[in-house]
Amino acid sequence: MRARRVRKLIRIEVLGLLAVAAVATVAAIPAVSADHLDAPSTKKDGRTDINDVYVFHPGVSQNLNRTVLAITVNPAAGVISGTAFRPGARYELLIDTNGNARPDITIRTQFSAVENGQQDYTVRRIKGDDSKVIARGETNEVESEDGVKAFAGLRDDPFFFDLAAFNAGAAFCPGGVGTDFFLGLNTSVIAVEVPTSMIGSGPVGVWGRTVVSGDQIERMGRPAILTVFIPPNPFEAGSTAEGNLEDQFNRTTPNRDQARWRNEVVNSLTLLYSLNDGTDDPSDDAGKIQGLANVLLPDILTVDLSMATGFLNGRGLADDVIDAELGLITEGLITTDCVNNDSTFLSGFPYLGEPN
Amino acid sequence: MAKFKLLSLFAAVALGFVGLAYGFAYLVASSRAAAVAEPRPLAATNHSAALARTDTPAAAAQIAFWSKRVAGDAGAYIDLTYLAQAYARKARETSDVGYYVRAEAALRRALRVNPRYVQAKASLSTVLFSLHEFDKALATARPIVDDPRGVQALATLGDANLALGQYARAQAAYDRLVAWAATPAGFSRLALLADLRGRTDEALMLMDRAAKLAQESGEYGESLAWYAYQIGELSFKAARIDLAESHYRAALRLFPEYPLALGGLARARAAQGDYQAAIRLYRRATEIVPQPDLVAALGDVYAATGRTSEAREQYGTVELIGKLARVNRQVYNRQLATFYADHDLRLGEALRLALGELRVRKDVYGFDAAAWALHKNGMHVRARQLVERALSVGTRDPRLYYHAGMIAKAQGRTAEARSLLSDALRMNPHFDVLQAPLARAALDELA
Repeated sequence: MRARRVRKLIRIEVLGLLAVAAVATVAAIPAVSADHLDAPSTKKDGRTDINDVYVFHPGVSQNLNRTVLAITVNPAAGVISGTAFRPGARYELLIDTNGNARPDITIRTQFSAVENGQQDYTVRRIKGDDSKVIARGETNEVESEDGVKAFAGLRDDPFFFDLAAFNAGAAFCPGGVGTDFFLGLNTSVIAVEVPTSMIGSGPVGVWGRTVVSGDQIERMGRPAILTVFIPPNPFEAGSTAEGNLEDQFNRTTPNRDQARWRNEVVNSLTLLYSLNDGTDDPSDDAGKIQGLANVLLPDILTVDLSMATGFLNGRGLADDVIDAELGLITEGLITTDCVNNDSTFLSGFPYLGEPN
Repeated sequence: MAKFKLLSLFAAVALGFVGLAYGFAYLVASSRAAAVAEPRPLAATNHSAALARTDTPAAAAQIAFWSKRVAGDAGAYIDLTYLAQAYARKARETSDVGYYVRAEAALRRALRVNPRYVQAKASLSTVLFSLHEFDKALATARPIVDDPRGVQALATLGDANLALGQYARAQAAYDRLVAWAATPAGFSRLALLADLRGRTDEALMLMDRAAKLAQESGEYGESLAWYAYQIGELSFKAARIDLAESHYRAALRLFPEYPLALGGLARARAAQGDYQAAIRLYRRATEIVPQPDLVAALGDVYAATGRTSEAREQYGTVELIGKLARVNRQVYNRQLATFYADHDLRLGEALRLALGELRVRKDVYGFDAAAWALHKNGMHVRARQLVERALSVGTRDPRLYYHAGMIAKAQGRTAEARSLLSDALRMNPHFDVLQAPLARAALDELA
């Protein structure tokens, strides 16, 4: 560092001055150094920032009697975010068993403070007044008891997506190639594997949320609904004058999604469905858009637990959810972002790959 | 291709249920369907060494990570933006502006790939501000301050206006920032503005709130230590030296080799009379970064203890930095002008630098630095006009009152001089190792 600074000094034509000043600290003088003006930048707490929600039957042959529910937080864990969970925050997987977009069963995980690099956690299943601890353990270790397995800790992020192409106006597959932004990135996961009967039998809806001091910080059901439809997005600029729509979306509940957010979904879809108007008769677009808006909201990941899972019936770790959604929202114009699963999954619980 | 089939199936099912509210009907139809008087010091969080590597990613690790990704893909503009943010973080930690220069280069590369990437523009506005390119920072920030992805630009809009003395505009930007989200970034800026307007208690309360929010939201290292350091600064200005000391120490527990906090603690120790401790701390700080104000302060403590040759050596270093700064971005013109004026060195240069700065930045400290340099050059009438502008915002900074008092004394306005100098010493009798005794001597002379 010191040597580099000296080279820099020489570069900036002060060689003569160096000889003049016979002072001890001269070798360490940087070209310039900062004053005290700089206040911190605006940041988000990665620990409560939900990346994804997964619901699937485990195993290659999909054991219908078992169901894995997982929620990931800490974007680019260990690089942009940290790796720990927020002590005291509630990490919840909410399950709607009767189709009214309200939770009937809650799987709630809470963590202690970090001690010696680890956190203790407790997982509860809450149904009405009935609240039971179904798992307890320490982070980064698989816990298993009474038919429930649990894991909370650092893993390879299963998500894959060409984020750069998306943010450049959804210009996917330049030269037929995509770039997986999430390759080599980690995430912090909370995964539980339970007897399917513990959360339902047939169709259920699942979404995740994070809660701090009673306030809902984030929530998510299907992948990328907020990213794609709530301004600002590559299709709609958004404005701070409207207030923080992203926060508002995160703080509202799915049962109000149709009333509150349908317009945003319809607006984005209207633009996206117009992209193929050169080759597609647009006269039926409006009807299709309304139909799709009925399904995309509320933002709940639906799954029929009596069937094999795979997006859009639940969501498996390897599912190419972006390709599936791109086709839907662009009326088949864009069917892929040209990136595929980059993760090596474990054959057993917690299934997500080892961290990078 | 399987997924394509799945997708078509889902689309068909979805469209078949036009008008249906959310429910599970479509799933059944198809199996695969689709205020604080005394803020308490921040406590260091307890992370083990093992997890600290990842749970609190270091700037160096971030720089290495994103550099590697960028090396493999020249078009990786998002990675370049993160790389720039890591460089900017390193700059904050070390006070080495060289990292801001690298951050700017990375952001400009990112924007060449995707000129519409708002996050990169917002970061660029902040980096330009840190390089004291205020007009460029404003020009970069303004077009994106309405975009939520550019909320950092809103912070910079306020910061640049604050630096330029446009306080109403700074206030408006900060108000919007806080309305957008109750973040430590917003409250800390409101605190700095409140302090500038002389509302010291409010400033302390806001900064304490910001500090607590920052800690709750998982900030660590310099990002958290900065708040503790700022509470120390606000406390020191209010002459609450022991309180200031405890917050500087808290900052150093959170980020041990933090040059700003080392400098703050040194100043507090000097104010408490422990010059040897102050010298050790200033030496540590200046070994990390020979920032002119820190080097000058070290020289002042040497001078106060009679070690004049060592003092002169430090002052020589400041002058050298002054020569370096001229070929660079003039980040330090103001600090240098004040240093020269304080020490009766190169007074012509002090005036030139201060008036040059004032042309760009008409803020409290721009007026003050120019007034002080004018006074030292014997131009008391103009000095008085400018120091009154400096005082007009209401800032309760003993240094301003000291300068105003000395100018009044030079003009023979004895009663006013007495009152201003007494004010300065009442606000903080230890506001400066060398200047506070000079203020007291001047007051005695007037008595």
